[in-house]
Amino acid sequence: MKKRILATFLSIIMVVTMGLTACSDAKGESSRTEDDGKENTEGSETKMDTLEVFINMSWYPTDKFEGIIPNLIKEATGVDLNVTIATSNEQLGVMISSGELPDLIYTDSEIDRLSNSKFCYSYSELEELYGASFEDLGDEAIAIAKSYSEDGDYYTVLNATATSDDWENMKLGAVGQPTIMYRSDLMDELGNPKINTLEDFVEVLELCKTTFPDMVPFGLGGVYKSQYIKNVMGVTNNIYDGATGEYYYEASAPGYKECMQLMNEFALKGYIEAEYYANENDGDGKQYFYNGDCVFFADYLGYNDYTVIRNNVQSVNPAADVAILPWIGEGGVPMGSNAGWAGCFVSRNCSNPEAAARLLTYQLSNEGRQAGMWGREGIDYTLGDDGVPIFSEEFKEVRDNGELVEVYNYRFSFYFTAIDEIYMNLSGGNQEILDIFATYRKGYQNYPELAMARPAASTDEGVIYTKLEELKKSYEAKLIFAASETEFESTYAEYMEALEQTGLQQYNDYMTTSIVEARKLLGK
Amino acid sequence: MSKGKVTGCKYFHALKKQFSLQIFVWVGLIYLFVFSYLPMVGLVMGFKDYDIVDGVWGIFTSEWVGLKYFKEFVNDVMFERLVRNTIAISVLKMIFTFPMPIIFAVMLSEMRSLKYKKLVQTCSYLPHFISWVVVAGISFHFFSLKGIINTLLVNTRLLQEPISYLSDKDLYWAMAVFLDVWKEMGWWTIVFLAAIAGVNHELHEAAAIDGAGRLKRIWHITLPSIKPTVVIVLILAIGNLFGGGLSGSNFEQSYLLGNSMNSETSDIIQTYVYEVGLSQGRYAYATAVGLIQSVISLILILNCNFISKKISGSSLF
Repeated sequence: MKKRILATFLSIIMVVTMGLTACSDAKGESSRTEDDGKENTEGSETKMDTLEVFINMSWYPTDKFEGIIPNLIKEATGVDLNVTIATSNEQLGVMISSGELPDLIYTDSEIDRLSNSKFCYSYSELEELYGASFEDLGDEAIAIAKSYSEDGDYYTVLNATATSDDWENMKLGAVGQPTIMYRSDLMDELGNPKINTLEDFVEVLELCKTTFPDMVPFGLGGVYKSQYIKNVMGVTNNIYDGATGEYYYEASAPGYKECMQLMNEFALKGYIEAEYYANENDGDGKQYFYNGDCVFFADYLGYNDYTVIRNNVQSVNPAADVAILPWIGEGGVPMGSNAGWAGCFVSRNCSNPEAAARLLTYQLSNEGRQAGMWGREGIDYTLGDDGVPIFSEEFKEVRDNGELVEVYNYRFSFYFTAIDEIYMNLSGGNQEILDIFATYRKGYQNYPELAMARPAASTDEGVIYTKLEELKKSYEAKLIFAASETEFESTYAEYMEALEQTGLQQYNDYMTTSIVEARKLLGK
Repeated sequence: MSKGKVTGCKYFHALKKQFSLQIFVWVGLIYLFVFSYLPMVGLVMGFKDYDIVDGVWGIFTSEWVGLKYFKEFVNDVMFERLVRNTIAISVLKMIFTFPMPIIFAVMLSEMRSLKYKKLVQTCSYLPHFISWVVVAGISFHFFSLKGIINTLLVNTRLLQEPISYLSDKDLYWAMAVFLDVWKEMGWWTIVFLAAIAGVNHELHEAAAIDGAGRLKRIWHITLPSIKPTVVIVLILAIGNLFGGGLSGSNFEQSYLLGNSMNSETSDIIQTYVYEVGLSQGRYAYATAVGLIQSVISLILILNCNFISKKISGSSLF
C-alpha cells in the first residue's frame, strides 16, 4: 500500500514538474517573441524579410547569402535568404512528394514537375496578387519557361538563356561547353608540341604516356568525361538537322561508333584510366588533376572554372601551371540547345509571397540581373559603349584569384543571361585566354527548341529518355573499356539492341515532331 | 450460462492480470501497425497511374492500370541484370556471411585467455558501428589504384600492375561479400556467443571424461545446442535475403560502391527502385518493382520456415 502511495505521489510530482516546465518554456518563448517584435519595430528601417531558399545543386559553392552582391540584393529588395543546399539529387523529389517545399526553390531539375499550380505560384500570379513586375523579361525566356508547364503559364524563368541575336552580337568569350585543361608546365617539358587537331592530341597523349609514366595522360574523372572528344567528332547529346528538321539522339547519330572506338583506343593504349572514369563526383574527379595524377583533364569552359582549377593545382604544386586547350575540331563547335539551366520557384508554402515577388522583380529586371553578376555600377564596373562591362581593378584581381564567389558571391543571382555571365568571367581578362575562348565560338548556333522539345519526365517519352541516359552511362563505360576489338563490337551491338528495345526510334520521332511545336512557340 | 461467456470472462480476467505486460505488447503492436502495416496501403500505387502532383489521395483516385508497371519492369532491358545481381549478391552473402559468425563464435568460446577473447570480440564488432558511407570512404583509401593494398602488393612484387578493385565489374561481388563479412561478422557473433554461453557445461565435462576431443565436443555438443538460435537467425536472414541477409547492406553497398564501370554487377533492384522512385519521380513504377521483390522475399521466408519446421522442429511461426 505504501509503495502504491509513493508511486502515485511521485507520478503527480513528475506530471506537475513537466507541466510547470512547459509553462515556463511557453512563457519564455512568448516573451522572446515580444522582444523580437520590439526590436523589429525599433529598427523598422532595416527590417528584412527572411525567406528560406533550397538550392537543388549539391555542388553549389556557397551556402551563405553574404558578400557584395547579396548585400546589394538585400538593400534593393529588403529580402534576406536563409540557404539550404541539397545533399543529394533525390532530396527535392522527396520534398515535392511530402509537400514540404520551402519558400523558394532554385533548381536545375524537376522543372516540369514544379511548373504546376499545385506546388508553386506562377509568375503571372505573383504579378497579379503581389505586385511583381517582369517588364524587362524577353518573350523567348517566357516562351521557354511556359514550355515546361501544362497550363500555359510560367512558374520560373530559366537563367543563362540568350537569343540568337544576343549570341551573334556577343563581343567576347564563348558559350560554356566541355573543354580540356592541361598542365602547361609539363607541356613546356615536352617542348610545347602543337595541338591543332585531334591527331595532334592523340600524339601528345602518347608522348605523355612515355615521358610521364606515373601519370595518367588524360583524366576523365568527374562530369565531363569524353564530351569534348565527342564534340570535336561532331557527336553531341542532341543532333538536329536544321535543314531537314530531323533529330537524332546521341547514340544514333552518325560518327558515334567511331568516337567510341577512339575512346576505346585511348583505354587500350593506357591514355585513360577506368578508376578515374568511374568517379562521377565532380570534386573528387578534379582532385586527381589537383594532385598531379593526370596531364590533361576533361572539364568545363568557364573562366572561373579555370582560375579555381589553376589555383588548386598550384596549391599542391606551386611550380605547376594550367592552360585551356583551344577548340581542335575541324568544323565549328557543336550546336547548342541552350534554353537555360536553372530557375527560381516560389512554392505555395511560401511564408511571404510578397517578399518573394519583390526579390524576383528586382532580380529579373535589367538592373537586378546586371547587379547580380557584375556588382555595383560605378564601383565594380562601368558599362562600355558596346554594352560590355569594364570592371574595376579590384574586381579583376578577385576574379583572377578565383575568389569571386567568396568576395562578390554572384551565385545568388537567380536570373541572368548567358552573355552577362560570359562578360563577368572574361571582360578585361588576359588576351591569351580570350583568344582561346574565341576558338570555341566558331560557327556556334543555338537551338533552344531542342531543350524545349524534351518530353516531361512523367510522359512515356520522358521515361524512354531517362532509360536511354541510364543505358548510355552503363554501356559507354563498357565500350570505352572493352578489352578487345571483338568485345567492343559485341558490346556495341548489345547497346544498339538495348536502345531499340527501350524505344530509341519512338524518342527520335517524338523529338522531331516536338521541335516543330517548340519552334512555333518561339515564333520561328 | 453459456460456455463462451465463461471463457470471455476468464480471458478478460487474464488480460487484467497481465495489464502492465500487455501495455508493452500493445506499444509494439501499434508501432508495427503504424510503421509496417499502414504504409502497405500505398502498395495499391503499383497498380495505378499515380503522379505525385495528385497528392496522397491521388493514390486512391488515380486511374487503375492493372499490371502495366509489372510488365514494364519484366520487359525492361535492365530486368535480367537487376534480378541476376540481386540474387547473386544475396546468395553469396548468405553462403559466406551467415556461417562466419557461427564459426567465429565457436572459436572465441574455445579461447582460453579471457582477456584476449574480449579484445578480439571488441575489435571484431566495432566495425558494425561504422556507417556504410564511412566504410566506402575507407575502402577507397585501401583499394584504389594508389591505395594501401595496391601499393603494398606492388611494392612487395606480388603484383606487377595495381588492380582496380573498385571499378572492376568482376570483383564487385567479392568486394561486397568481403566488406560485409568484415563489418558485420563480429556483431552477429554476439548472438551466437550468448547461445553458446547457455550450453550446459556438464555436457562438455562428461564428454571430456568420455575422451571426446575439442572438435568432437564442438560438433556433438556446442553446435547441436545452438541449433535453434542458428535456425531462427537463418530464417530472419533469408527473410531479408534480397536486402543483404543479416546485415541488410545490399542497398548501401550498391549505392556507395557502385559506379558506371561496375554497374553491370552492382546494379540491384533496391537501388533501381530508389533511382526510379525518388530521382525520376516514378512512384507507381517503383512501387510495383519493390512489390515484386517483397513477394519473392515472402515466398522465401514461408518456404524456409516450413522446411525448417519439418527438418529441425524449430520455426518462427
